[in-house]
Amino acid sequence: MTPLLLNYSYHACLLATLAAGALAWFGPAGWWRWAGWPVLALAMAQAVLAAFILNRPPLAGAYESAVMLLPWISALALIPCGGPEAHRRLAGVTWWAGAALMALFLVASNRFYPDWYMYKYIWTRLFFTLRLASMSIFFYASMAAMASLGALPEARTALLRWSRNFLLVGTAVFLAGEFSGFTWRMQWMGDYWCWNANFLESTLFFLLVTAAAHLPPAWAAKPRLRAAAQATPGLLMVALFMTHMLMEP
Amino acid sequence: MERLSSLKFTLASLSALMIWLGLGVFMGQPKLLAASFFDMNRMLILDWLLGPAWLQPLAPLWFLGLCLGVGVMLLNLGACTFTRLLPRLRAGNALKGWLLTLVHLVMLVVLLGHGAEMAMGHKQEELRMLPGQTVALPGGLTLSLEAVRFVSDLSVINLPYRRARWVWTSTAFKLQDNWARVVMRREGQEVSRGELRILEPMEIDGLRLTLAGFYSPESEKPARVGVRLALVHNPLTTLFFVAYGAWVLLYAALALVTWRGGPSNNSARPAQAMAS
Repeated sequence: MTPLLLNYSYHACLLATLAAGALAWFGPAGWWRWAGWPVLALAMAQAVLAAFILNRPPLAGAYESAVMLLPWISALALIPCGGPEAHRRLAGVTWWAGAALMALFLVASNRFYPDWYMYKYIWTRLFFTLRLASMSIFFYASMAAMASLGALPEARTALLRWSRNFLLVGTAVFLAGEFSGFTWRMQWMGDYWCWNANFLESTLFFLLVTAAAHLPPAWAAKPRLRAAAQATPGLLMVALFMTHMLMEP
Repeated sequence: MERLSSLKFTLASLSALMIWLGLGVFMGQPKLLAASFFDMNRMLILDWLLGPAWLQPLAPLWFLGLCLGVGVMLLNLGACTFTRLLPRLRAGNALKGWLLTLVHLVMLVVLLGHGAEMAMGHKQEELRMLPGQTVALPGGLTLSLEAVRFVSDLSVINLPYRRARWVWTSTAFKLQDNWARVVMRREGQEVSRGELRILEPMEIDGLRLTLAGFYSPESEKPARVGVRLALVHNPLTTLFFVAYGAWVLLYAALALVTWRGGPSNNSARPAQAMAS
């Protein structure tokens, strides 16, 4: 019964997210704000149903990650940002990106990960949860940067500032996740650091966000360049993460 | 000094480091240098560099390149902190200025601590032992494995990490039911004895003994179960974790203060303010 409900909520959420994006982009002023609430409710229902089936929070794997990313970005999309024009653009882009993420599972496998014994450990849970939270925040920051492209100057400035603020918040959450991961590895393997592709990739992501925050003034004054720099970390992170997860045997 | 602390230099050093890390991600694949990376994890980095590293020279060359990149970034970080951030403390938003400076300084401490950690103390990961075996440790200590209790499915005990995740579920593998009984002695005198479980390390004389997993030597019939242990001692671990925790909190505080700082008038200022 619960898997069937999850399936219904997945399709309902996909349609609602798509519709909310269309309303924000093309709909009458004011209406689109209300469209975000059903999206958030359905995204949360999906995450709760998944947690109920798994008997733990969704933590790893492509589908579980997407199920956790969506409530985060749906909630973030509701926060008023700058003026109405900026908020409308950002919400529209975020909902469409969320719909695209969910649409991936019309063709990709929507299997859950097994209940690995490590998932019971608090630092493991914290690591995976914070990693998904930071990825959502970086992704939202990317959406804000992308929404700034083609916007009027006032909205553009507000969106780029919004994106910058969320890059900072995302970095704090990301580092908290790394702290949890270090603790987990130390308790499990003896040392907090490991030379492997995953650890190097995490460091690379941190440097990417740091680079976006350290543009020389002349470059930062070019809105397109700044938008590209601020959009890259979140987009790359989600793209690489999803590719990794979908390629897992 | 001005050039060393410039944002162009920051961006260039970060970009070079990212490319180098990307190369490391590529080289760390199983068919390339994963075995060298495995060796790097087993011991202190200095022991590795002076020992098995040069069996596959690409790995130590990559590592030395990484050290060079991090060194250049540290130089930039230090120069930026002392020539740009500290002089700005008296002007503008004082709290934000302090937080920005502290974030940079604590990052410096974290990076230096991380580097020093890799070279100090003692480290032995992937130490494989079978019941009845004894190994000698630094400081005149010996470690003996008296017994192993493994009640889970023996047929999947040697699965690699990614495949094991699908089989070693919380119902199939109980942390409390599987353990290793170890005894630590100094010059024949028992120092410590106990049952070691996964995720429950033992601290003995400043040495952290960790049970990483179980294995069964494929050559042995009937099958025996051994353990994979890690023995690590590092005087800087606590300092590293405290510094890292402080770094996270400072970042969060900086995000909060930047948020409350209100809008900036043009697109150049925010990035400058956030950077150095």
